Formats: sequence, structure tokens, C-alpha cells
Amino acid sequence: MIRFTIGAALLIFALLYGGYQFTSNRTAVADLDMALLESLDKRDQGKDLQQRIRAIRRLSVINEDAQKFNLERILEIGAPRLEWRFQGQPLVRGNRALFRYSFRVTGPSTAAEATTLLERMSTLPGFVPTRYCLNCSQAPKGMDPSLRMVLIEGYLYAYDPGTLL
Amino acid sequence: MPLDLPPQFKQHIEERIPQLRGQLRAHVEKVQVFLGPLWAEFGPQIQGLWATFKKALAKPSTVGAGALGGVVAQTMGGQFRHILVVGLNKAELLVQHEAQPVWNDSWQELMDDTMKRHLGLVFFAPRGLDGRPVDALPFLMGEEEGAIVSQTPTILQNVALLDFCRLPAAAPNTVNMLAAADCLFHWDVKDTYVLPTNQTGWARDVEQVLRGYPRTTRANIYTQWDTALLPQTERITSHSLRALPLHSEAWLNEPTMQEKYGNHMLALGLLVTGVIWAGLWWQGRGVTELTSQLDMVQQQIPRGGQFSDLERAVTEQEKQFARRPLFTLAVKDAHRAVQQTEMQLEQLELKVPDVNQVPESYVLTLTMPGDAYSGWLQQEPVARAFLLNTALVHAVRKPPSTAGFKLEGLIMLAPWLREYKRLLPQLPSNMVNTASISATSQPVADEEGAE
Repeated sequence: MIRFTIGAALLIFALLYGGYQFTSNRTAVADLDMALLESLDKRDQGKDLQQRIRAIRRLSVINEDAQKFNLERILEIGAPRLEWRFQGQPLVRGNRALFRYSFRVTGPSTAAEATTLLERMSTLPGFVPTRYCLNCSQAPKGMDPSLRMVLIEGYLYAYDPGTLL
Repeated sequence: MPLDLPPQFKQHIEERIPQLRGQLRAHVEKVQVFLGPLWAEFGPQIQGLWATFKKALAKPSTVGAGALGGVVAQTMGGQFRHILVVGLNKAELLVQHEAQPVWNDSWQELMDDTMKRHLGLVFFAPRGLDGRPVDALPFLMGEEEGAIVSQTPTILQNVALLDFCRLPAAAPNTVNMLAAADCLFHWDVKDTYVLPTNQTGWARDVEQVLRGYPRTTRANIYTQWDTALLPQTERITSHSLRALPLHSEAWLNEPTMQEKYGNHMLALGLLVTGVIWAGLWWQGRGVTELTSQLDMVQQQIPRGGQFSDLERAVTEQEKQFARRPLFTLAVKDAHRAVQQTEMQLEQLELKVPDVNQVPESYVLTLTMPGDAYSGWLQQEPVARAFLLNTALVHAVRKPPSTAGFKLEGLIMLAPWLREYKRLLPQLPSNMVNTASISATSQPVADEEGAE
């Protein structure tokens, strides 16, 4: 009789505990699967991000080079014609790794020269024009009548090579 | 006790009953239409099966059914390997696989410890003066009448004790006989009887017993003795001792279900526990593997709070640079369209609608001198011509304006992005001499489309 009791108790306990543990394990496996998928995604994103950061370095200027005269020299502009101006402080992101400057290039120019400047901006790293306006502002007195006031606004993307390795 | 329902509910139910009856009748008719042909085909078989099942339920316990003329489900031979019949002064032992029994004056000497668990001990304990069965243990152990044997003697432990004097009545018109040891035991529809006999004269005793019953009475004789001595008559049917029906009423120490299946249950419990333990171990191994895999993957994830911020910044820059060439294209296209339209232009502006978002469209605004075009007849052809001459502008509109004539054009970037990506490899990579730029800043014409 004691054997029957022990056997039945074992059977019931094993079934109850086994069922509970089985369900618990299944839930844990499902949770772990989901967590693993998310972690793999994050890891892939991280790996992908490293590759993207390498690509971004080629799409940006070095932050130290983001100086008015340096940029004017690159873009082949300068007073008394088109002038480079930074607008406000740069937007710093990624633990001071990436910088986004707002700029404005303005001054008397022709449409052809302005278009050439835009083309140059489109091929050089870092420049993203967001606004182009021809003859939007009053021309200064004594300006060559063949010229028009040109305004180009946009972003200059830069990176800190010491941070963004 | 009548159910006291709320009056409103009762009224609602009464109103609904005719409708429910109608619905029920309709459903029953549908079921009849479906089941009618099936019932016509399989109805007799189902009824036959049901009748058989009812008969099976009405039968007595399978134990001893053979004695009542039914199918022998459990017999002495089927239940026990060895059968020991204790007679009046003699005992007879039928050992497993043997046809010839052995005899001894003392039944204790016929037994040994190896056969106890598989031994059925048949005896005939006389009833007391009140007609009730006496305690079997003192009878078997030879104690005086009225003696109390509180515990089962060692020699009888694990032995199945079968007091045949407690057998239930036999089937009508049937008498069952057991000839073994030194007695002829028989039981009929009324009672059980024990008569002394021996192997030489037992046939005569059987005849003597049968004379006391009507001629139509059938006799079942269970014995290992020589049945050739019996008279040749259809009334007598002889059986082996092993075919003796087993009745639970006669089995004094019939094991309970727990005793009978204790080992089975213990084995089953251990087996199921083992299987479950193995299954859980296998399942847990998967959990462990997943956990370690997760830990390993999590260690490979870049850490730091700026991760998502950096990712957002990189994404924005990638998208901006993917759209960047289109801005110049749009400016050039606007200039070319204005020139081809030969329109008088005062201002030309191209901008992204929201500088804080990655652009999905550009807005082109053309402002004409106030006195250049007046009225719809002059403005509409100019607008149409401009739209025809432009390659990128999807639509133009004339915004409400009090000063002069304005045209707004919308340039959707998505289709041109796809087109630009297609043409991208054909573009020269060094459109501008970048020698003056710092060493790390390289021309990016080939990489801008990488969104």
C-alpha cells in the first residue's frame, strides 16, 4: 500500500511539477527567443552602424576644418561676392562625434555662378543645401546690374576624428 | 421548492418560449433531414451494439462468471500458479505446469516460501452454529474453536486464502463440484456442502450427490483425479482444477487495488518521474543554451547612451546626402524651364519645406513682376508652359497673393531618387578638384546614393 501511495504521489507530483516547469520553460524559451532576436538585431545594427560611421566620415568634413575662410577657399567664394556665414551654434550629436552647422552663403552673383557653386557643394563632403534663392534680397547700391543677390542656406556636416574613430 | 423568478424575467421568458419552440422545431427538422438517411442505414447496427453493451453491463462481476455458465474471465489457474486444496484430513497441491497433484497429510509441509506469492489456498471452513462463517485463521492453524488469532501467521503471509464455504450460489439447475484432497465439495443454488471421499470411490459419491438433484440438473466437476471413473452421461462436465472459477466472496485476503497495483504504480511513478526529469533536463538545456547565446550576443552590442543618438544622426545624414544632388538638379531644371518659357522672373526660390526634417519634397516659388502678367488669360499659359518645360516639377499652383504673380511648384523626391540611383554609376566621380580639401575629405559623388 505504501508503494502505491509513494508511486501515486510521485506520479502526481511529477505531472504537476513537470507540467508547471514545462510551461515555464516554454515561456522562458519564447521570451529568450524574442530577446535573442532583438539582441541580434541590435548587434547587427551596431555592426551596421560601425560600417555606416565609416561611410559617414567620408561624407563629412573634419570639424577643425569647418572654418569660414577654409570653407570659402574650398568653395572658391569670398567677399565682395558670395560670402560664407555660420548661423548659430552647431548641433552636436553622438557624444560630440557629429556636428551639424547651419550656414548661409549670400552675396551678389549670377545664376550660372550660383548653380556652379551648388554643383560644387553637391560633390564636396559635408555640404547639404536646403534653400536657394535668386534675387530674394535688395541689391546694395552700386552693384553691377548684371548680378543678382543670391542666397544659399543649408547644413554643413562635420565630425570629430578623435571621437568618431 | 418552486423557483421564484422576477416577474419581468418570467414574462420575458413566456413571451420567448413560443419563438424558441419554433426555432427548436426547425433545428430538429434540419437534424432529422441530415441524420434520417444515416439512421436508416446504420440504425440496426447501432441498436445491436447498444443492446450488447447493456447486456455486458447487466452481467455480474467477471470473477466467477464461469460458474454461472458465462464466460470464465478469471479462474484459479489464471490467477494463481499453484493451487493447494486443504481437505478434511489431507491436502492436495497442484504445482504450476504439472498435471498430477501431490498429497500430504499436512498442508504446511506442501508449501514452501518460494511459492507463497503465487499460491491459492482453498479450504472449507465450517460455519458456526449460527450459520455464519467462522474465522478462517484458527480453523486453518488448528486452534480451538473461539481462539483469536490476531495476526496472520508467518506461514500464511502472502498466501491467497480461499474459503469455498463462502461461495455464492451457483446458477439454477446447476451443481458445481470440486474433488480434491480427501473431500468432495459441491455447491448449488442453495448452499455449499463438504463430503469426505477418496480417489477410488469419489465417482460413486458424485453419483450419490447427483441423485439428490433433478435429472435436468447439470454438473460441473473440477478435479485433477481420473475422470474415467465417472459415469458416461451428458449431465456431467469435467474440468481441470485450474478452471475452477474464482470468486471474490471466497477470497478472504483479496488484495486491494493499492496492494495489487502498488508495484505497478511505484514503477509507473518512477518511470514518469524519470521521463519528466529527462524531458525537463532536455528542455532546460535549450533554455541554458539560449541564455548563454543571449549573453554572448548582448556583450557584442555596442554600449553607451549615445548609441541611439548617434544612429539617428547617421541616419539623418545618410538621407540628406542621398537627396543632396537632387537639389542642384532642381535648381538647374527651374532655371532651364524659366529660360525656355521666356517668362519675366523677379525671384526664384527653391527650399525644403521643413529644414528640421529629411526632405521628401522641394517647393519651388517663382515670383514674377507685378505688372508682367495680369489676369488669368496671361498667367495660365505661362504656368502651363513652365510646367511643360520643367522636368522635375510635378505640379504648379498659384498661391493667393496680393502682390504680383506667383507660382509654386512641388517636386516630389521619391521618384527622382529612384531615377537618380539608376543613373548614379554613370556620373563622373571627380566633378570637382578636391585637392585643396583636407586629406580626409574625399569626393563623395559615388557614395551619396547609399541610403
